[in-house]
Amino acid sequence: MGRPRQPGAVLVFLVFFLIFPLNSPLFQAQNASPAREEASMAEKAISIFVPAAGISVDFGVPKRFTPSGSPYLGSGAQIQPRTPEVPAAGEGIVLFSQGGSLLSSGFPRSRDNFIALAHDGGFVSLYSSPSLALSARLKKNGVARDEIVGTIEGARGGQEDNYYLRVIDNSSKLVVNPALFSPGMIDRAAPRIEEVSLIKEGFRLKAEPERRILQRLAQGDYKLAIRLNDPSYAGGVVSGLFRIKVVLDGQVAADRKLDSARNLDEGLGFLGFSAPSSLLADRDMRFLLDGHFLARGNHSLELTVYDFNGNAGTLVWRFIVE
Amino acid sequence: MGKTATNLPREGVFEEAGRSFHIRPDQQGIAERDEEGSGFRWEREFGSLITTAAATQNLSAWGLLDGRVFLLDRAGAVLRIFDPRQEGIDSAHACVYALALSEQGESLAVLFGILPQYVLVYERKSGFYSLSYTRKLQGDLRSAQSAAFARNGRSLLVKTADGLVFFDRDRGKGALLHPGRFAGDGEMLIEGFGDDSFALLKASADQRYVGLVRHGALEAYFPLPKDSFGLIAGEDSFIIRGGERDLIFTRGEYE
Repeated sequence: MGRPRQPGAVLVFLVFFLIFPLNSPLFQAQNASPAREEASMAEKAISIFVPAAGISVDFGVPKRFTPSGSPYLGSGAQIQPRTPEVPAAGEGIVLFSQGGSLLSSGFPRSRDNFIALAHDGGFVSLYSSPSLALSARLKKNGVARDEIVGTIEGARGGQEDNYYLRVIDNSSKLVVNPALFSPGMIDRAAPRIEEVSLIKEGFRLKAEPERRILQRLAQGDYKLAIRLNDPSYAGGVVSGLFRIKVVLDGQVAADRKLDSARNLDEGLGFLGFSAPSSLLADRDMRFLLDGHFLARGNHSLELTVYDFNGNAGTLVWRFIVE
Repeated sequence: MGKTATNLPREGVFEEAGRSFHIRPDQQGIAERDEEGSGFRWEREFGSLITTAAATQNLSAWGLLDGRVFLLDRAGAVLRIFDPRQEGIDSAHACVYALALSEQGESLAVLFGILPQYVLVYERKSGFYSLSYTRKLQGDLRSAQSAAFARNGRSLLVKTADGLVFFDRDRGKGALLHPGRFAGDGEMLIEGFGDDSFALLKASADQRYVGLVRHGALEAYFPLPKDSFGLIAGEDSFIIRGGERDLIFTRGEYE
């Protein structure tokens, strides 16, 4: 069950193939193999680079909107720079800045200050942090790659040492996983599957694959709820969850990637599902995936999750439907 | 609707027209508090960053980084999505920098795009909004700006890089007020004052000025204490919030 192809997805995938190791497990899972020359052209066209050190990608990770408690999915990466300076991800111009006001009225900031740079090809890089301040030396119509766009001024070790980075493809109406633009990122820690459940109208059966006696449930339509965690590797690098594959009774039931989210009228559409992103998670911060009708009989469910660097975590669960 | 001193913005909460909207930390979602303040009436996610907003008692408008404006009803349902690019407004980059909604929602003003930037006014006739005024600007600003309709809804004042743009709905004409004084990227707050006037607070370097605009003319403009930081306008008076004390202006005198 593939996600609908978007016009910009082709470009994103070209970049993805360029920066991803050709012998990685994730590469072997792809269906197409674009020519190297085309990939080089895509790289020139985009020219956005996300720091590979101190990066923690949370693209697609469930979060909680306090005070309402509703879930939503992250759409960027937390980056801890070595100095309190925020470099431009690519050549561009200042599109938007928010924060550092002398006056206090009108539309307030959420929690962070923001700087957005517009790049060629409709791409936008968006930087945010509670203490982010726009560099006074920045020329708004001529920002070079790696030029300092702003500074973050928190005490070392605190939350304000980080800034959050999002990459947007406005021409294709996509928010793109920033991991696609961080070719040097190294993460060898496999993601963990912390919970798998089948849920239906208030009923939930949590997978306990280590049990000797197979678990049983009634025939019907079930959604798959999964809780995942991608632990950090050396230097705090988290390449982020990138692909979720579900095989039910030997058939691929779902194979979805967190490469981008669509900018839809109802919000962000991740994994090819409709928006808003709150539909994809519950209040316990579990992903809610496709519904399936489970008929009577013995079943086998194999869930494999990959992070962006191709590390995989797998869970196999056998159960009986009565 | 009169405002009180408690209406100055709190981080993460947009308060206008007696309504209170909580902003999600990624600034791509909002939730409106119910009237009791104990729960939420509705929530909405946007596909792009919220850059500015405006609200009346029955409507709210949300400007996005991708250049679109969502007009929502009291229950948070989408009434209309404005996309100036779909109406031939040609800027190198789309983004919404200021919004103003008239009290009854018959007019919506937008500061849109860069290279170049535009002031746009949409008007509702027979239930449908159409673009009624377009002003192309020489310069552009890259941060959220202040804009307001007069309380009677007949005129608009917007801070732009070129100066203050005044639009008279009855005449369908716009004008630039005192560009020498108001052009540039100095910060400004604008609020409708009385029925047909605007109060403004300008900050430039370490100086503050207060002004009064009526029928498109600058009727008063003078300096204020350097610690002035906020503006709250009502029907008969407006308050300038200051670090040490507030100044209350009432039709030509202040105390």
